[in-house]
Amino acid sequence: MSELVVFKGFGRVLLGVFQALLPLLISFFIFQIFYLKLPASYIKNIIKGIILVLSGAALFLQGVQIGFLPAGQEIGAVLGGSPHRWLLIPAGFLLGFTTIMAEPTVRVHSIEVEKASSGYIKKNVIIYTIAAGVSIIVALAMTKVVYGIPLQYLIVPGYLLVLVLMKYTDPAFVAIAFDSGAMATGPMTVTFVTAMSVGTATVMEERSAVLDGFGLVSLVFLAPILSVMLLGLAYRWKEKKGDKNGE
Amino acid sequence: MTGLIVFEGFDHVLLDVTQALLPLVIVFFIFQVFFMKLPGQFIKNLLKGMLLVLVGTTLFLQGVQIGFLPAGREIGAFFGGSPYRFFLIPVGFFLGFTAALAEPAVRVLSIEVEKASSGYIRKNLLIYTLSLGVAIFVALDMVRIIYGLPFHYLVVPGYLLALVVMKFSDPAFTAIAFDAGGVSTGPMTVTFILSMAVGAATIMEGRSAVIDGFGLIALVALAPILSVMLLGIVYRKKEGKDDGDGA
Repeated sequence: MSELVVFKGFGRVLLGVFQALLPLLISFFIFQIFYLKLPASYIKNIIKGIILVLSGAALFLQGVQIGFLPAGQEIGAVLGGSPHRWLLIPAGFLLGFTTIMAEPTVRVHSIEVEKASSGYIKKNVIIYTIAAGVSIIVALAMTKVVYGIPLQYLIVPGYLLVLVLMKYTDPAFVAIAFDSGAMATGPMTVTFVTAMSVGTATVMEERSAVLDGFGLVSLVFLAPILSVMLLGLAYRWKEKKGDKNGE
Repeated sequence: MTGLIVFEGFDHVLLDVTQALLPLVIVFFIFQVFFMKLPGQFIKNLLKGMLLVLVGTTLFLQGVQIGFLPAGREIGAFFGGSPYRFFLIPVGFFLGFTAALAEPAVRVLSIEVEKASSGYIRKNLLIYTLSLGVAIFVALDMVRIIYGLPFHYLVVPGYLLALVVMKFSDPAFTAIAFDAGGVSTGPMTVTFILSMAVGAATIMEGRSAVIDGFGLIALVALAPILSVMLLGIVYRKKEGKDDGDGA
């Protein structure tokens, strides 16, 4: 019986994912036939990749709808409805941190950075820098929901700070920083964090679910950009100091 | 044999992800025991949901890595190396659109927006607006790569424009727009479109794969911010008109 609940509507999810992927597949095969003409072994791997993506995305969306969305909303609603609303702030910090640790895209990305920098930038340094940035920002964002601070007050200074820091950071770190922002807003974080803030904003009478509930993902995108660029500055500073000591 | 290649590093990935998910599960259970006390059926569904999310995300990432990454690179290298480089522009537009459509996080956000706005902002309208924005900016980025323009020329005015448009758009759309920027840089778009841009940049002399890659992510994050805020302006106009008719 409970098995049925888990896979309720799975056919529809699968169909939706297939429809979403279809244009991409058709365009790829048109390119293949007319221009690319890649060898068969290549095509075989691509087809396997497509099957994995199709089934992976369908399972993921199903899991999100039966598991993550209701859980995130429930946590947000319980905390937002309680007399101790400020609890949302440490809760946001903790959940921001653990969600980033659980985001597979972040892990893949940090392994790539370690490889590309030949071990100079360690995998765990990147993961923890991203997680620290995101947890601080989610805590800030919860403060925003609790006290009804407009999103602009966080976004505008945030983006301006990014543009300024960009000037002072090593271009390679700027690239890593933006990649980190992209990876931190992976499927897992988006689902859980948004569900939580929408849940909170829905229970709090004086807040609107749309106005106050959204905006978190944008901050989660901003957070690692800032924290990784700061890491870049720290590395540069350390190098300079190392040079001086060498002389 | 090819089966082995497809799942190369797969057990490793799965173990990593399980370890990663553990802290999130623990935090959730602490909340459950002390604060929330949800019914058993809910917890059961949640656990199943988490399992599906875990398996689904792992499969999805694996599929993107083996299938879409090489395909994107080949497409980029093919058109970048051909005498008709300008083909990269329409190809970028088309693939940008289709990749954003296939992004799971885009779907999740749109579902949440439709729910939170009680159907006022339709799911598909948001998905198509967002994808159109991504398509235009990927095409613009291809123009940038072909002519070798520095990324500052697009990124800095783009973000400043976003901060200006924010003043004129409906506030409800602003938060959603910035969130849309975060979700559009998901694993599908980043991996597939980025490998296409890198493929094209690598084959053209005097282009740096690192810098070009960064520029693309910054633009893909910017695109939906602008397109969704424009949608907000359209909605506001429409409403203003309706009000005028009513009065």
